[in-house]
Amino acid sequence: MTSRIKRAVAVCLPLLLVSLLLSGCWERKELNELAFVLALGLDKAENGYNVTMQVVIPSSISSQNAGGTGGSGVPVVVYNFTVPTVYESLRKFNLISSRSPYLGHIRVLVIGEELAREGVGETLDVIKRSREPRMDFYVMVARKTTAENVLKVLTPLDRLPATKLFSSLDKSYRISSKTVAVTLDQFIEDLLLQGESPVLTGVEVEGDPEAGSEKSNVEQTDPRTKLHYESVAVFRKDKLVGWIDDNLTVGFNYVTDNVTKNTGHFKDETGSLIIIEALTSATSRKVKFIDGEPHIFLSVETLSNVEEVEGADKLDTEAKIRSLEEKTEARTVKRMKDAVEGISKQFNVDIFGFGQSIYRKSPKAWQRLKEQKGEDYLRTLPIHYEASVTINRIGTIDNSFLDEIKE
Amino acid sequence: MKSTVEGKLSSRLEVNHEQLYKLLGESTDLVRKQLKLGEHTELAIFYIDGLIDNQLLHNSILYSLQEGRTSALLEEQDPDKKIEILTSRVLMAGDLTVVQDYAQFVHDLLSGNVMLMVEGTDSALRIGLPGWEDRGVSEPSSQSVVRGPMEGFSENLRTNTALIRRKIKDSQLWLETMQIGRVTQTSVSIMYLSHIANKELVQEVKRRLNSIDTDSILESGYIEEFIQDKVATPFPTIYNSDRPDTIAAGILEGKVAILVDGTPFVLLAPTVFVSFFQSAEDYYQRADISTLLRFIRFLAFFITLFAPAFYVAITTYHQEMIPTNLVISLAAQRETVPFPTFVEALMMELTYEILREAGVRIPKNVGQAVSIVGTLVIGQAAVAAGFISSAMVIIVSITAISSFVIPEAGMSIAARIIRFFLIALAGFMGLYGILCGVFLVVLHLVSLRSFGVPYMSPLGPFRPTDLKDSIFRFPWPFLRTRPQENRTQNLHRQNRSKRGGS
Repeated sequence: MTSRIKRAVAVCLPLLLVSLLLSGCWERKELNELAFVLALGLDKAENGYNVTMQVVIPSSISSQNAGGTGGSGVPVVVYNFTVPTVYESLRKFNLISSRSPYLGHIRVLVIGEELAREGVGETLDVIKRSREPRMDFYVMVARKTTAENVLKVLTPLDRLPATKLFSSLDKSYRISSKTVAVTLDQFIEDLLLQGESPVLTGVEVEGDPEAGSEKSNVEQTDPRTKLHYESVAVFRKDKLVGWIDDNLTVGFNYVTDNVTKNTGHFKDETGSLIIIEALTSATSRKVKFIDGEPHIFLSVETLSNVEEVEGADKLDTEAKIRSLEEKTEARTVKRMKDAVEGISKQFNVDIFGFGQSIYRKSPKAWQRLKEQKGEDYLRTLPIHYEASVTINRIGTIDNSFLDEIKE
Repeated sequence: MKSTVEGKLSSRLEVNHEQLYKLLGESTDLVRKQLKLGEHTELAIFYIDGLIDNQLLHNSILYSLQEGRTSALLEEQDPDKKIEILTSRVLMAGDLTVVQDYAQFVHDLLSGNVMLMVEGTDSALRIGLPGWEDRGVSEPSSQSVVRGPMEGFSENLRTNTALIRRKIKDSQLWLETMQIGRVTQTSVSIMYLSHIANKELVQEVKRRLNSIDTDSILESGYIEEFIQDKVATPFPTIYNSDRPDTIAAGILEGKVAILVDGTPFVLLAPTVFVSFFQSAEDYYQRADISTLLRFIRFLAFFITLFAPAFYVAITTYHQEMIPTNLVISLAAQRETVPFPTFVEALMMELTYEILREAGVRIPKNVGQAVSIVGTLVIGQAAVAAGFISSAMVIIVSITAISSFVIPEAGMSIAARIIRFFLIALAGFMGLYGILCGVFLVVLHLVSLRSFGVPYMSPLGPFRPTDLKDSIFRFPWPFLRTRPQENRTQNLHRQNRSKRGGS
C-alpha cells in the first residue's frame, strides 16, 4: 500500500514541475521588439504632463549595417506626449511606434524647470514604482527651458545624447566638482531624510533647440546648438527654490565630501596666478555638543598638485611650498564658508545635511533644535572649518622659465 | 556455441577432423596439415590461417618434428606417451598445454593456437603461436599532450598489459583475465595493485564483470554500460583512456583498470567528476600552470554548458542586465533576424552539431570542401543575409571551442546534451529557468556514484585534503596521500621527503 502511495507521489511530483511551464514566456521580449528609452523628460503641461522620450534607433548606431562609418540618419527619435499622468504616456507610446517602450536602460531623467518649481514628488512615484528602470540613472533639471528641448538636441562625439548627458555629468562631477551627480534613488532618499534637502545639476540648451534637432547640427565642427551643465538647483522639499553658481557648488561638494578633483587659483606676491589642483580630497564631519548645543566640525584633507605657474615664482624651496599649502588651506576653508553662508542666507535650505548629521548623532538634540529654531537652524548653527593640504608634486619643472626668456 | 560443442576429443584423427569441419562449416581458413613420422606415428596439425605466426610454425614446430631423431623417439611408444615426449623433448616452443576437452580445443583453435593431434590418443597439444596483424604501439589519438609519453594502447590485449607492466614493475600488480561474450569470447583483464586497491572494490568489479551475460563484447564501451552504477545519466561514471600513463596513474591511486581485447580504450573505476578535468600532462608540467589550466577547463566547461542558455535568457528576459551600449549593439544586430532568440540559438546549436558530426564521418579528402561550406555559408552568409545575428555566431563558436578544452570526450558529450536542456529552460523562463536546470543537474550529480564512490567527491562530500589534486594540483612533494575516496589499503604515497636544492 505504502509503495503504491509512493509511486503515486513519484508520478505526481514531475507533473507539478510541468505547471511551472504555465508561467513561462509571459515576460519574454525580443530585443527587436523593444524601444529602448534612454532619456525621459518631464515637463509641466496645462493639464498634466508633457512627457518626452528619447528612444535609440539601434540600426543607426551599429557599425555592422553601415559599413563601419557609424551609421546614417539620426541616432535617436524623440516622442512627445501630453498626458494626464506619466504612466499614460507609456500606453500611448504604441499609437505612434511599432515597438513597446522599455525603461530598463534610462540613463538620464530631465525635469523641466517649471515642473521642478511646482514640485516633483508625486511625479517620481511612477518611475520609482515601476520594476523596469534601474535606479542608477542621473536626474537633472532643464535650466531656463523645457526637458523636451534638452532631449531634442543632437550631440557630436557621443552619438546618443542621453549617453552624452550621462557621461558628461559623471566626468564633470569627478574632474571639476562643479556639478553634482545625483541618481534618482539618491534624490528620493534626500527628500525623505530629516534635515537634508536635495540638489540637482542644471542643464542648459545653448542655441536654438529646433536647429539642434536636425542632423546638420552634428555635421559642423562647432555645432549650432549645444547642451551644457550650468549651476546647481537647490530644492526645498520637492520644489526648486533657486540656483547656485560654480563657486558655491565647489564649496558645497567640499562640505559634503564629494570632491574628487578640483582646481583653484590665487595670486602670488606679484599678482600673477598660481593654479593648484586637488587630486584627492576627503572631508570628515563630526558633530560635537558644546554646552548642549550641537557644533559641526568639518575637516578637509587634500592632496594637491601645482599645475600652472604664471609668474616667475621659485618653487624650489620647502618654505615656498609650505606657504602655497597654507594659502590653499585658507582658500578651501573660505570656499566652504562662502557656500554654507551664501546658501543659508539666500535660500535657508539645509542641502548639506547638517540636520541629518545631528539627527544621527542624537535624535533628541535634533528634535530640540527643530523646536527651538524651526527651519532657521542653519543660520545660527556653529560650524568649524579646518583644512590640511599637502602639495605632492609640482610637475616636471621646478621654477618657471619665465625669468630666463631672452630679452 | 558452447551448447553445440560438448564432450571429449576422440582418439581417432578422422573422427575429430570430421566433427571439426561440421562445426566450423567448412570454413576455408581452417588449415589441416597431415604428417607421418616413421612407420607408426600419424600426426595432424590444425590452425586458423591468419591468427598464427606462420613463420614460427615452419621454422620451429615443423622443423623439429621432421628432424630425423623424432621418428626414432616416437617409434616404440604407445600413443599417450607420444604426447608427453613431444611436449618435453621435441617441440621447441614455450607455451604448450594438453587439451582433452572438445570445447576447450575449439576455443583454443579460434584464439590463435596451433593444435596438434596424434592418432590413437584422445589428447591434443595446444601450441601458443599467436601472430596476427597488429597496428602496433602508436601515438594516442584521443588525449594528446605536449609533454609526456607519446605511446598509446593498441588493439592487442597483451601489448596493452605489457605497456602497463612496463610502467609499474611491482610484484603486487596483479592481472586477472576472463572471457566475456558467449559468441565473441572476448578476453577482459583487470589490473590492480593488490596491496593498494580496496579488496571489496576488486571483488565488486569482478562480480559485475562476471554477471555480464551477452553474446558479444566488441569494445570497452559495452563493458562500461553493463557495469556502470546508473544507466540513466548523461555523465560518464567510468573513466576511459588510451594512454598507458593515465591508466598506470589510476592504478597507483588504487583504482582498477579493465582492459578489453580488441580496443585501445581501457576503463578505470571508480571515477569521480573532477578526474574528467585532469589531463595526464598536468602531472608532467609545473604545478602552477597545471592548476591554472584546471581552472580554465572548469571555466570552459561552464561556458560550453551555459553560454547559449545565458545569452537567450538575458536577451529575452533580462535586458536591464546588459550594459546600455552592448544592448543597443545587440538590438542592432537583431534588427533583421526573423526568429526569436530561442529559435535562433537552437538552430545554430543544431547546425553546429550537424557540422561536427559530419566532420567526424567525412572522408578526409572532401573534408576541406565541407569546412568551407560550413564556415562560409553557415557563419558569414547567414549573418550577411540577416537570418542570424553575429553575436549568436560568436556565442556558438565560443561554446564549440570550449567543449574541446575538456580532456575527456565523455564529459563534453554530457555538456552538449545538458546544454540543449538548459537552452530550452532559458527560452521558457529566463535565468529562473537556468537556475531550475542547474538545481536539477546538481541534484543529479550528487546522487551519482561510481562503484560506491560519491561522484562529486572531494567536493561533496567535502574532503579538504583531497583538493590538493582535484581542482588544484599541488607540487609533487605535497601530494603525500592518495585520494581518500578510493578507500585504499595504503593511503600514503610518499614520506615527508627532503627536497633537493636546499
